[in-house]
Amino acid sequence: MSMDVEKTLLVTAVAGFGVVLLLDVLFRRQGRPAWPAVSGLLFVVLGLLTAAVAGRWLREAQGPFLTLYDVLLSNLFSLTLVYLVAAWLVPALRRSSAIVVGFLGLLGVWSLTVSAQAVPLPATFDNPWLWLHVTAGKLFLGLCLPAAASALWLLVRTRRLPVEDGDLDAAVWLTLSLAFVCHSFMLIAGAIWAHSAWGRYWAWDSLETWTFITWLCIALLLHARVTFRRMPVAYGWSAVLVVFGLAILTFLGVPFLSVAPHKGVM
Amino acid sequence: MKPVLQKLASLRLTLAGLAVLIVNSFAVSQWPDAAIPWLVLPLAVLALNLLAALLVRHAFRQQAALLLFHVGLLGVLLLVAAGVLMRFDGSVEVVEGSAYNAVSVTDRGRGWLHPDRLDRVQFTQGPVEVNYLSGLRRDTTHSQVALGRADGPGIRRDVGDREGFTSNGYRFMTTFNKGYAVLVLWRDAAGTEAIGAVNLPSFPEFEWKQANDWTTPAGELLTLELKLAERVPEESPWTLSSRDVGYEVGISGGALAETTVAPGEPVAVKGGEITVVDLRLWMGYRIDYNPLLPWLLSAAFLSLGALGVHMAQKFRVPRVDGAVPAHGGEQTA
Repeated sequence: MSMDVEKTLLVTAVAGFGVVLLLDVLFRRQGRPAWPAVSGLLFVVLGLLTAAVAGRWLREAQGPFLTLYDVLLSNLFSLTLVYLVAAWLVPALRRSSAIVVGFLGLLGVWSLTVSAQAVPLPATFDNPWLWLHVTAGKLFLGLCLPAAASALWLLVRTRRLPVEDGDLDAAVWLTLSLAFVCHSFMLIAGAIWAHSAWGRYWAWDSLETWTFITWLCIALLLHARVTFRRMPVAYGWSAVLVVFGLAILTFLGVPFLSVAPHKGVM
Repeated sequence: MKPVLQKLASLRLTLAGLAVLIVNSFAVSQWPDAAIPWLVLPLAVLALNLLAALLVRHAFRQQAALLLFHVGLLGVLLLVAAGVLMRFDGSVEVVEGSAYNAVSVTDRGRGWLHPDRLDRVQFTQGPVEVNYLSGLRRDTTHSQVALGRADGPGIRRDVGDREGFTSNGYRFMTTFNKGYAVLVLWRDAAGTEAIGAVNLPSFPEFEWKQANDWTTPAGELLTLELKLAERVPEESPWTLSSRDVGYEVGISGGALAETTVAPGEPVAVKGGEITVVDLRLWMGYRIDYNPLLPWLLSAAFLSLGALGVHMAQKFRVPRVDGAVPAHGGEQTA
């Protein structure tokens, strides 16, 4: 698949996110269930993204790991896929679909503004643990997104927990807890990969540090929730948003801003 | 005793420890040399806090998976600490055809309890080949080594980017660092001979300055410069090896006027003569030692598995679509 076809697929997918968002808002305003249309169109967008990722993968003969464009493109795919699966399993998560799709649309627009030029994957990095590390990372971010979107939905809607949103609050903590498990696996797989690629399992480079800080923040949040059971629910939701912000900064900011060995190697 | 344990097991102490660890982790990224002082205190507090909690918290006794997760986490903490105390990190360059020598190892860091056994490692460096794709993109590295005594049969291994070898607990991994070495024969006025290698800067990274200083046994400082017959092709695949390489060596310094010699051509220098006899490659290895890594990995996976089981138990609720508001699981904006 040529770069032009890949770009066309990506532009169409990004436009698709815009259409999904418009439909979502329109249906909600009319008081009609939006999920069937939203999920159906998201599947179409996912198909376009799958074709773009697969085409790039085949053309470059390497996975989408290195550049900011690679990371954005593959995250658009994984975030959409994980959200669709999560919302299928936990229907409460469907309520925040407009926020999820809006965020994906913004990521998509960002991906259109960065260079799509591929960078060769160094031979030392090509290791099965890299795949596991990256997959766990994408699952982590994919689970964080609906958690954060639902937390934002709850915060915008009300600062207190209405009875009918109890299941959504539970879904926030469920997805964040599962994200924590994935994050833990990502750290372990990353350490094994780093040991193979660089001869050390941890070196406190910028990405490692911020990834560890994100893990500690989630651990802190989960412990705080148990410690302060009477804490206003809005505090917990706000903290989930902070964790998501930190995760986004770690995944999409730190690797491309630092000059550490991890730069561009996520 | 129990009130003290209760206080030590406080969740508020956990939160404080985690908060300090977050701040200190950021500090470590800015000042990596001070990693141990920054981290020891909060990690020690968290370890004590966890140990106390394991002893007095009923929640742990009622939730086996949660207990196992935290025990595993405590194990990870202790194993990381012990690993830091026992670790060794270093590098070495070994020339084709020569035996590894512990004296040549560059020490990049070692723990206080590291049992120094570097001199027990024995291997001989065999041929090295590094393949490049067009555009000078490094592809695969093949470094043959014979493990065991230099005069013994040895166990032959082909190591590279993805697979190193381990000897006496030290893991040797090839690195991007490799280059040419000029093999020089020294013969003094009495006819006594000695042979040695002069390693040149990493190649092809420093193709433009393939020179190094060397002091002869007579104490004269010379500069040897490798002059390759062909430049590295940048637009086509290429293999770095010491076979079939056309070259000459420029020799200068001391009382010697700058001269260029072909292999086998002797040059008279102060106290004797030198002859460039061969061109070899040297391979740079990274050496690391941490005998606790398998245990650390086991503890980490045990902890992770237990966390997964705990989360699955905690959130194992029947999927009831009826829990969603009646109008199709959505709220209008």
